[in-house]
Amino acid sequence: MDNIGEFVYYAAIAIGKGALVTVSVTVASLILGFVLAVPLAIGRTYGNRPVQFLIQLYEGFFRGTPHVVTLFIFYFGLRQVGNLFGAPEFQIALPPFPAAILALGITSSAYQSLIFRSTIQSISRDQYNAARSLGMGKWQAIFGIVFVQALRLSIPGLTNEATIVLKDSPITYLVAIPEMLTQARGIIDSAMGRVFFEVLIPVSIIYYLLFYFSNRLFLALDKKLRIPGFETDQR
Amino acid sequence: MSKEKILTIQDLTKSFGDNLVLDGISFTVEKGEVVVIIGPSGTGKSTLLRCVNQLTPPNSGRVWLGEQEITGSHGNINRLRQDIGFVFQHFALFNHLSALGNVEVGLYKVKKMSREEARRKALEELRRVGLEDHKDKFPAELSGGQQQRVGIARALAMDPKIMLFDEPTSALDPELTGEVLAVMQDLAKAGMTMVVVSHEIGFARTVGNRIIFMEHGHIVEQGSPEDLLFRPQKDRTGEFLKKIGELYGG
Ligand SMILES: Nc1ncnc2c1ncn2[C@@H]1O[C@H](COP(=O)(O)OP(=O)(O)OP(=O)(O)O)[C@@H](O)[C@H]1O
Ligand SMILES: [Mg+2]
Repeated sequence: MDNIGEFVYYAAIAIGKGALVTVSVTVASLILGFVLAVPLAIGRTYGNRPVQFLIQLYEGFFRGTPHVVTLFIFYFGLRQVGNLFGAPEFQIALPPFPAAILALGITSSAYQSLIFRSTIQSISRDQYNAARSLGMGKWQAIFGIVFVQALRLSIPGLTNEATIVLKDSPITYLVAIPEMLTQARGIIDSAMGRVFFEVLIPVSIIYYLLFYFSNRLFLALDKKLRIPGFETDQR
Repeated sequence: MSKEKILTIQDLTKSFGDNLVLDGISFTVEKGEVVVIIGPSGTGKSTLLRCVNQLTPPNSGRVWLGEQEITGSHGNINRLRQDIGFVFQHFALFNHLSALGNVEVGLYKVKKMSREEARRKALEELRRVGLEDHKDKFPAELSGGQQQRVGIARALAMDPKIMLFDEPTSALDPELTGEVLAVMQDLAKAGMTMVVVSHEIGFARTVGNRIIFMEHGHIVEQGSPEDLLFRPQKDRTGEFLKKIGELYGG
């Protein structure tokens, strides 16, 4: 009996730590994705042809490649990058965390860029012209008038994207990130198959709670930033 | 003695691809003058107004605001645009800002006024268009006529030397047209220099000093409202007036 108590205690701690790692990786990836997506979406909308083309290529690549492959490129691929140029001594050896966050973040940036682009395009060109006609500069009009509105309208899309990144985060176990599912697997293995649902059900519940609270957070943000007549929350 | 010229347009041309939209437009507008531009759809009236403040850069020709050349002014254009008020057909209000916010944003962001000073001036402009009671409403909460009056207040707040109106009432129901035209009439009475693209012949006649009839990127004819409306020199002018007379019941 004592044995079981101890097992549950350590399992709970491991899963708790894993949950923190899951949250950290998800939040860091979303933030990186956001920071990259803003210039991407703006370049894709307002940039010249070559800029638009390059961004399109970037978006296409990271949306079209399986996320596992992207992860492997950042973790394993960068270590071997020198081989491509016949210079095997040249390698970029990223530790697991940066590699995982880069992979998930850059992937997310491609999707977030798409979200922002469509909301930027939903703001009438007239409003941009009106801002310019008041004497605002190009960047002042883009950020001060168009993008602030686009950002608010993007909240439902970002809510969805946050959920997707949360549920993509377990793939980082492939590069030994001790996230929640990695921990769960460790516990199942250490019990030599005698537990399975006893571990997975609590883990699923924690995933659900994370999903639920992130949605609530975004919904609160959406409410706080509502523009009368342009409510995105349909309820 | 000729009066002070506010706007000088010289031989302006603009094409979009093969489509020659403005084909050598020249005219001047004097201080306090109200010029009404009429002409069929697709004739380049909007393009002309947008070439004036360089929202659409022309292919050739020159534009001056007073003594200052606008064309080719590059870095200076943001400064010059503050002096040219622009009113849009579909209002183009900033949807995330209240009526007051729309009017004050140019004052603190562009003119770098303090927030209090900007607010005071914006309120004054809203009062001028009869909307101070609606200052906290957002564009989606205002009628079309009210939205357009906010659009006019927003442009006026910058203390422009000239106001350009691109069909300011054509997106409005007839009942709402009157309130916008009344604001414009007050503005003209106060001495504002205005170029108005509009088919409101009643307005052109009572408020306008001159009417320009444009077609296919040319000025066909221009003159005082009485001459142009009742004694047009060109057949095309007469035909067009007859057509809008039928449409607008004027
Ligand atoms: N950005 C643009 N790109 C390509 N063509 C354009 C653009 N803007 C205007 N045009 C074309 O230029 C011509 C003149 O358009 P413009 O809007 O100036 O006419 P308008 O006289 O204002 O007509 P309306 O009375 O319908 O407003 C039209 O054939 C239009 O299709
Ligand atoms: Mg037009």
